[in-house]
Amino acid sequence: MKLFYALGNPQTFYKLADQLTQKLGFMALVILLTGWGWGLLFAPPDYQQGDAVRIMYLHVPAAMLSLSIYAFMALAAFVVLVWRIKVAGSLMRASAQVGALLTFIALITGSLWGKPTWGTWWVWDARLTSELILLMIYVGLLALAQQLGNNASADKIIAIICWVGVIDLPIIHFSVKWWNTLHQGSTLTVFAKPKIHSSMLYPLLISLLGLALFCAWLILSLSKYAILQKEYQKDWVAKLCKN
Amino acid sequence: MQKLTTCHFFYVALSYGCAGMSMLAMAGYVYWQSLKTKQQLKQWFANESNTKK
Repeated sequence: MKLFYALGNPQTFYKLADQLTQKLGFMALVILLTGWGWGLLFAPPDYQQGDAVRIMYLHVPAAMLSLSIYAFMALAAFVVLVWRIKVAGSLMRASAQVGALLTFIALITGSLWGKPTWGTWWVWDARLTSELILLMIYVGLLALAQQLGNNASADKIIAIICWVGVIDLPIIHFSVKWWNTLHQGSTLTVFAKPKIHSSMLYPLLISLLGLALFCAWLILSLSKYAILQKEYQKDWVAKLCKN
Repeated sequence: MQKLTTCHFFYVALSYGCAGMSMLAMAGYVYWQSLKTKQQLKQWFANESNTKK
């Protein structure tokens, strides 16, 4: 709990975020290029889909992270509503921007994967439609944030709307089980044994880690600049600028 | 089979191209935010020192 309150302090959070972002960006780039390079050049083609399966190393991590980032944003929204911590508000806004990017990438790459494997760019299937709704929720939250400005009461309204959107997460996750969909079931699950061969699994996990680190870099960078813009009247910002 | 593989590479290249460009755009946005913040703080401190004078 002590750590939680310490991180809630804008100055402490800024220092930590500044240190982390200096290392995270480079690490993310190296890991992401390793994962994608492995997936594109050395992983075997699929016996049915051929080389089109290489889109998986981009599409699956993007889709998984689009949901994870929303869950993280909802957690930050909860902190905003309960403890009214400013840092959580900045993290929530930054997560909405990065989550929208990841959902966009997941939809575009999914469409480009669908054409050679399903023979169509788009179907109004439960998984695809619910993911499109997630993008709309992200864009709606960003529009609202832009309209309401950068203050505590705006953070509260965005946090409430964010929690309304949480209903879409289980729908996206379980859509392939609840309905008959063209989209395949989950390839990676936390507890069950993976359904793909290790020659494809390892590059997929490395790509997932690389993309997750890239998202963490984006979220932390955007939040630290947002905090500086919010706290510009405070002494610690003045000291920081003098140094 | 050869034609099919070439066709698949087109979709793979397009996917990674689109995603790469989007990610670069987002990294550019982060860089722009850093410049904007520095500019705003500089402006604010300049105004502050003028007011004190």
